[in-house]
Amino acid sequence: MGPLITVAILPSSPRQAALRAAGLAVPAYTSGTFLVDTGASNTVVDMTLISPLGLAATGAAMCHTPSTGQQAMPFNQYDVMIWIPGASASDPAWIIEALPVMECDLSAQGIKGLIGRDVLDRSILIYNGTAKHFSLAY
Amino acid sequence: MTELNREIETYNRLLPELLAQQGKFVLIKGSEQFGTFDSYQDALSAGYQRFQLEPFFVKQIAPAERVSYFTRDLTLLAS
Repeated sequence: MGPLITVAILPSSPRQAALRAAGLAVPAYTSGTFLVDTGASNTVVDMTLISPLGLAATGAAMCHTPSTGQQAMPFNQYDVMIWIPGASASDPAWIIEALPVMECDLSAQGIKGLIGRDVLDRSILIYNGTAKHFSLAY
Repeated sequence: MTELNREIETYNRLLPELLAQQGKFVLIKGSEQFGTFDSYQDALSAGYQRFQLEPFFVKQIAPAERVSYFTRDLTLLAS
């Protein structure tokens, strides 16, 4: 399928602060397997990970996919924190405290999200096809 | 489509004057803007401090609408 990593999703840190200020609990994180996708401009997250977080849209973006035809379409964006564990328990996790992501239905594709170039642009991705491994450094 | 149509209209209306701050992030609720910020996180923080958990809109100021491209076919949800 390609380079896969485990990613956890939470409300963005500003939203977590707002929830606490309102006396509300911060929802538990959701997590799943994401595909590192250099063909995706932005990170997208499956609805089964977004819905439990109780988010409201705080943005919108025009998107073009193979099925939107000639025209791009507007879609909501949600502010989330993403947490990518280190390669081992002793390696620090990579945390992005606020990232706009789009919600999608990836149920037929066996993954829970795509890590797009908005995240990859902050890292060094090395894909070693002959050795059958990849690294994502941040 | 999107539930933030009113805020998107506000952004488009204010864009000519916002362009002097291209690259910054504008905070909008309804038909008004509530400041521009150097980072996405700063704009979000201001939005949540001002409006708590009510809906608001954050957008990076750009002269033309940026399109996000996906080579994989996705079922993006308009919500």
